[in-house]
Amino acid sequence: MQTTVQTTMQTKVAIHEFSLWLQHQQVLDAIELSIPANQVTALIGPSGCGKSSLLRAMNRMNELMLDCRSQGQVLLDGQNIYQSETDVARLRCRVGMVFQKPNPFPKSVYDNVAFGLRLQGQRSRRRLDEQVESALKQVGLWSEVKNRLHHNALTLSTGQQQRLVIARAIALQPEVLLLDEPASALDPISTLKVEELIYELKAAYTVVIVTHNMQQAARISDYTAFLNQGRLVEWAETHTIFTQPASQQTEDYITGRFG
Amino acid sequence: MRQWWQQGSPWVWFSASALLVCLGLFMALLGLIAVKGMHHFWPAPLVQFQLTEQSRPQLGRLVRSVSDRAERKDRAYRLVDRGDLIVDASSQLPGRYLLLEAHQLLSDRPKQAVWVQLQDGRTFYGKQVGQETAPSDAGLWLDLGMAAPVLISAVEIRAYWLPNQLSFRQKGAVFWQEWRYFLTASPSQNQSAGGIFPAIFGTLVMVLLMAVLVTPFGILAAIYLHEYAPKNWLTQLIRTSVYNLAGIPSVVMGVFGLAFFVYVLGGSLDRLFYADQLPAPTFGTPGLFWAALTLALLTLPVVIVATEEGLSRLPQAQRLASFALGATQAETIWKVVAPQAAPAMLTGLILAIARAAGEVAPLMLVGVVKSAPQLPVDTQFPFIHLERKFMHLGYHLYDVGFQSPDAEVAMSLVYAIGLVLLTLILLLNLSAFFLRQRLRRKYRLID
Ligand SMILES: Nc1ncnc2c1ncn2[C@@H]1O[C@H](COP(=O)(O)OP(=O)(O)OP(=O)(O)O)[C@@H](O)[C@H]1O
Ligand SMILES: [Mg+2]
Repeated sequence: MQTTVQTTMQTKVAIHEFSLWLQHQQVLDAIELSIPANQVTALIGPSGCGKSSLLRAMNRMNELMLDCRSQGQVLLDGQNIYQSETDVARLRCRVGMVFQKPNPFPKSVYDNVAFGLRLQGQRSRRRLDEQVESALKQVGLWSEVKNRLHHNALTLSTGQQQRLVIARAIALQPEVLLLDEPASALDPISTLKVEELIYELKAAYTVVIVTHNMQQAARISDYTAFLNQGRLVEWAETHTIFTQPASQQTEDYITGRFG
Repeated sequence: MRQWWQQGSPWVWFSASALLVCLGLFMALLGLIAVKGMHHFWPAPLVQFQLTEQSRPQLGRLVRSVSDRAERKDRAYRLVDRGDLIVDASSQLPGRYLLLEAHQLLSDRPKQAVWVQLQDGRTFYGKQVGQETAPSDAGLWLDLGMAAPVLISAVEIRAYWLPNQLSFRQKGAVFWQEWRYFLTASPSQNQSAGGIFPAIFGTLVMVLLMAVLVTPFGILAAIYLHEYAPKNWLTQLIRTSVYNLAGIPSVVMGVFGLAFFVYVLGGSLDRLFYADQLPAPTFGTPGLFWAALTLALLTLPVVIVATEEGLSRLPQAQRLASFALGATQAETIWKVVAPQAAPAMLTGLILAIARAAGEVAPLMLVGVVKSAPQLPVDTQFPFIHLERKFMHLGYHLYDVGFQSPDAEVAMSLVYAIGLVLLTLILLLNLSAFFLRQRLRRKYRLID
């Protein structure tokens, strides 16, 4: 395993010896990975290698799955989130997540974005309006939905829904944002918007993004981790991974000669 | 031909014809009840008959023809209703319904034939004496085929018309008037006349009370089973048992309701709060609340099953989305899961209401009576009297149809009551149905 990152970098999330079993099948195997603060980390790897599972490990979503067992540590700002006294709801506010498939609630666009804010106790209509507007503007959805804020979110197109669920997650202003293929259903222009957004978010947030698009990983990420069959094969600065990968597997995958 | 088989066309035809048979039977049932029930209120012409050559002609309502198959002589009889009888010592009266041979029936349908019903529910058919079209101040002189005309005083008369003179439109007016009376009046003449309002009201109050009791319990139980309970064999066992509760015969539930709710719970309530009235029981006797509770128990599995079904149809992604936004499990359930499963809960409620409104057997044990002196809801504090006995359409139907001495008078009345019961259930279901449609439009994700 290669770790070619300067140790001076501040680590936001540190994953130690993390293994995961779903329905008695090992999905992650002793993952050792640091997510640097205020950087974009991309997770790449073939389908079914455990990228989504690794993302879910960072906000303890795996335990909502049937029959899940985990081992090892995930440290958020040095605190092990797998301690029993962790307030999981609070943790998930700090570590926001956008799922692979857009899953808006069958409520209005507005209520979708305001959902998390309301849970946080935000009752002021004016503040909610502002926060909803700013979140929707950040994902470039505002101009498209500002006249139908109170329509059912399921009437939006898939691409719009995908941006809506991103807006829903960033409205909470999490410290870490986990994005699972956030641009899979987007046209090039919307993709560009989302990529720009991720770039902007970097200033305030730590972003982890799963993507199947190598160009996208190369464009937007600072670090890239390559997973295969539940193991972390290689982790390095993005340009290193893409120009001189240490492992033959990584090179094969990136150049499209994999499997 | 082989191709026809291979393409599976026969199955289309089989299933379509099965559906057609079902629909046909439904339509036949509904049609029969509707036609017969409506017929009860349509003013029938009055005919004249003579018991013997010497006796005076009397008036009667032709009920139906009866042909005597047993004797194979094709002798046609007519069943005639001659109304309630004023018994006087001189006349030997064989009963209200007469089986007459064709020759005893006179062809004449007198224009002055009067149908009159008294406030107490008795009905008379007679010939009007004189020419006035409305009863005079004193009352109405009627020739009932007895030695002398009879005076019926005006205050006693509830309704009055001359069916043989009525035009179609006038008959229609009478029809509606009689329906209104039927729906709003209390029964009289040992249930054979008057209206069924207390029974409608009792059914409605009981069903609504049942719904109020069963909905929260059923929904909460289903939410616990589906969202909170660990998924292990014990939960599965409980779930299976609950589902099987639906198969318990309702009369057994009635026995349980009587033994446990009425005697144990009601008896304890009486000892605790109504000790001063003992030994006269207050809650320790069958009543509205116990009936509603028994039916709630009976329909609980229906609500639980339907709600659980709705909960399991809800995609897991919806729950995950909520958790990922920092919601706790309780918040997820109340803000995401429950609203989206609401249509399914309403489906459960619809099924529960449909089942409860038609249930009679257990009610006979826990609170329904043949005739209740008071409605369960009135203007006296505390307005809804849970301990009172009440009347119920289903039981009323049974009582009129099978417990009355006069099967003939009951026949068409039974259909009319059946029609009202069906309509009531239909209305209850429709209102829940439309509520569900509205919710579905709101949460379009699950159907
Ligand atoms: N709920 C689950 N129960 C059992 N096994 C699961 C579950 N979810 C995922 N897995 C298994 O875990 C492995 C990793 O799944 P994961 O979804 O993390 O893959 P991925 O890298 O995100 O794939 P993709 O690129 O297709 O999204 C797969 O083999 C999958 O079959
Ligand atoms: Mg995935």
